[in-house]
Amino acid sequence: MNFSLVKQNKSFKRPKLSLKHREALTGYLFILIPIIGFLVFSLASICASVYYSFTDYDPVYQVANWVGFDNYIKLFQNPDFIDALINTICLLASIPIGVTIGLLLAVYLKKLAHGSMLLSLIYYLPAVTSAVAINIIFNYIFNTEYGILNNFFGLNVDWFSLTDPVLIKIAIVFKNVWGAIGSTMILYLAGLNNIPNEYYEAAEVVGASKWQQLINITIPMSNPTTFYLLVTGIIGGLQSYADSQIFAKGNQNATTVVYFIWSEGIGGSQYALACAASVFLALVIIALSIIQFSRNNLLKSGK
Amino acid sequence: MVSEVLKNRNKLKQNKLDPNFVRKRASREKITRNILFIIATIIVIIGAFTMVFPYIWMFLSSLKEPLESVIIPPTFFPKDPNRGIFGEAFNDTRLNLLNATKNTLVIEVIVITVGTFVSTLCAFSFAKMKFKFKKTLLIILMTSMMIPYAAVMLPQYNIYTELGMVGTDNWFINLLPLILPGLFGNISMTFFLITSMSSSINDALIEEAKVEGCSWFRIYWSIALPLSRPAIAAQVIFWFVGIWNDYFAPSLYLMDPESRTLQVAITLLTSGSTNINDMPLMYACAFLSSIPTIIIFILCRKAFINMNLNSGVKG
Repeated sequence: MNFSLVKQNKSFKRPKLSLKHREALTGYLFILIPIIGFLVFSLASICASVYYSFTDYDPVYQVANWVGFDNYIKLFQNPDFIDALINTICLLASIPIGVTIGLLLAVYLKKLAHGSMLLSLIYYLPAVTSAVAINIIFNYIFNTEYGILNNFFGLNVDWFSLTDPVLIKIAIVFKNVWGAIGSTMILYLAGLNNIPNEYYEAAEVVGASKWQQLINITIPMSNPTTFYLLVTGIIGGLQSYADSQIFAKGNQNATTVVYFIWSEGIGGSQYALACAASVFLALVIIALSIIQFSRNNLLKSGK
Repeated sequence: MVSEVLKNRNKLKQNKLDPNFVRKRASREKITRNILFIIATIIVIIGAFTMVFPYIWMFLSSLKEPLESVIIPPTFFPKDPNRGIFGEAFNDTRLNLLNATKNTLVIEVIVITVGTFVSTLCAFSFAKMKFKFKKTLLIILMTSMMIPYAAVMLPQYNIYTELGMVGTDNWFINLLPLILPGLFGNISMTFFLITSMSSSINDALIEEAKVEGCSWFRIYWSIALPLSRPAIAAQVIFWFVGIWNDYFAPSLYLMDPESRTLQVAITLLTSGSTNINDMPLMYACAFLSSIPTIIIFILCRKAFINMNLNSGVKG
């Protein structure tokens, strides 16, 4: 009796310590694979990109000589890269347009008693459609000769003109706005439901018009959503590739930074230069992500 | 002067409080509101038509004869609908759509099965287990979400080429560059599940299981997984659609006809010198390839909407 009690006590005490220990070990074990994945596919890969960007590495000869910042200097003197950078920035115009339309659509759908589900389904369709299919069909719609857009509206616009740098960008911005409305609308709808109804009731009592309510209540209260959509939209837009590859078929007026990295690094022979471009892109995107994360945390801690 | 202004102001005030005036203003506002609402409805319906038009156009164009698809001005409805085009798309030996679908599904099944296991296990560990440096490790994992694919693809492409996984005779080996990264889990899925697991799984339940001598893996498998099934399902659906529509990475690695995924196979028809004969075929393929994800979306629309709601905005 006595003996068993002591034993019980012991077995009660000892595992408690080792349990904690075991919990930590198992915890580490459970997260081990994603951590390895991070080390290999993110950290090691980006370090290799950074390293190669400071060398004259060529995958064919596999020799790397240190050249310092040469690639970065060459990059910003490379007219193709400057063009790609300007094109990418111009194409970001679709983001504020898409966000604005998404907000207005969400405000409208919230008011709607019937049919809002069907409408939101229709507007969201592009978000689940592949970039390949979207670009193929828009390439056809925008075609100068037999495209339905020019023929239906009686236009004579060469959207894929090699000499006019603006037309093809308008086409891509239109296509990207078309593709982005649905997902921005869904996020705004969620945000709108979080705005207390009392605000609108109070505004009604004071006699504020719907327009004033939109400007003074809906838009400021949706600020976090707007900020999130703008930043993630810019991050996504900076990485666009299918637009120039499939829609514009490599048209020089619509090359993007990622298209430049692809065509120089994998298609072409300027591997190290492409690495420098990819590191530059990564720096911009990391900076934007940090802004997004810190703003999100600020909001969370503020509330 | 001053008194006049004051008088006027008083008059205005009286006017504003006059019930007749208020009623008039209200009814006038009601009319403008109704007109605005009607205008908005018309715009939204035109917009909805613009949204579906490319899909309708994709379908109608694929039914046209090759010459009819480039006719000026274009016909809206095909004169002589070629209903066999979708069969032709599947039988086209250059495209080999069935094989391409198989390749896409092989990637989907392997990546999602293993990746979901890895991601949920990781999320469970972060949500419910106690260990040192948890926050640091989480932040480290988070940084991988910031790194764009374009910034890591060049070294990775080199290494896969050196490992003999690019352009080999074996279709499955060629798919490995697209499968391997997914086996290590999906960070955004992990993050989503950390929040949903820490709120939906009761700590008392875990304590009870611990007292009864359940191992941590057992707790994960029989408590955490079943309890967060809806959240996991939403993530899996989202991931499935993402892999199905993925184009950039597959287009880098899959030159070999045997190992092309669906999206890569379709772009074959778009490259450079598009033959007029191929155009309806191209629209047929684009249309066929978007049907599965649209059906999944319509069936699981709630998952998509919830997914979007939880994608990081905490206002």
